[in-house]
Amino acid sequence: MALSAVAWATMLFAIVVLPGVATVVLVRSLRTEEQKLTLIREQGSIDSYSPRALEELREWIHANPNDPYASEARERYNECVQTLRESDEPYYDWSADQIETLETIEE
Amino acid sequence: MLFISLAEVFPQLPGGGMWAIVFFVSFFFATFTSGLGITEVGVTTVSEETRLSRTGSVLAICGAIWLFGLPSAYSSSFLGQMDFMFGTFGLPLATLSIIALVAWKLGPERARVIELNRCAGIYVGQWWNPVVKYVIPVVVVFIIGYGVVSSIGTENQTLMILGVALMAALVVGSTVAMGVIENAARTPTSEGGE
Repeated sequence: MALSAVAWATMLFAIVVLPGVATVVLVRSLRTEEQKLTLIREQGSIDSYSPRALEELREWIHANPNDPYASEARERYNECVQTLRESDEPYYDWSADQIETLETIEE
Repeated sequence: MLFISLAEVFPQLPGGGMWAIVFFVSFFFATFTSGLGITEVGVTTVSEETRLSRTGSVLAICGAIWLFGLPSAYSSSFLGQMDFMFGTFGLPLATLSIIALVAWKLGPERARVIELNRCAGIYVGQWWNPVVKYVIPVVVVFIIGYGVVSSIGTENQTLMILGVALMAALVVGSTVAMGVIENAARTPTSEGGE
């Protein structure tokens, strides 16, 4: 059974889109996880939030000081700040100036 | 369709063997990785809520899945009935339960800033909040509703009623079981430390 050009194009497109994208995502995930593991082995810990995510966490803590999860959020924020101060190489895209300006949040 | 119709179609295609290999290998990885993710939910829950180790939890969950799968392996009719009940109502209901917990009880913004973006490979922005709170519940309720309405007056009507009743019983039973396990595990002094 001869296939039309459209059928061939569709099949090739499906192969590129489905297994192709899955492979790219899998390789990227494995690389980033390997990078995290390497940093943990070398430094003992890694920063747990990106600059943008940590900024949002800080804003949320200030906006919701009496939230039942506020103490847990403060703990995670301070843990990340402490790790950034102690680490030689952050996992996320932190600059030295950004780390310098970070302060822990007291209750 | 997969193992009967498609298995007959591939040999008729030019390069059919190659297409079949590509398709079935992709299908295997799609189902295998989905299976890992679905199993992990049960393994994590058992591991955290009982005294079983992680290895013990994996063995318990996989053993239970194997036992529950035995009737379907012996009877294709039973497999079809269970596929209809759990596929049409069970999976959407499980999604709805997770959404109810994350988006409505915990709160999407709180879940996002504290948990979702922690050690995340990709930053998730505020667009996520209305999606999990409104869009996904509407879509899931529509899927369940469509399953119910399209079964009325058909040969699947009894199965549909049984499926909805079974899922409701599972939700109530699971909630009661988790409540009992949580009360048993809680000590008088651990309340404030949670």
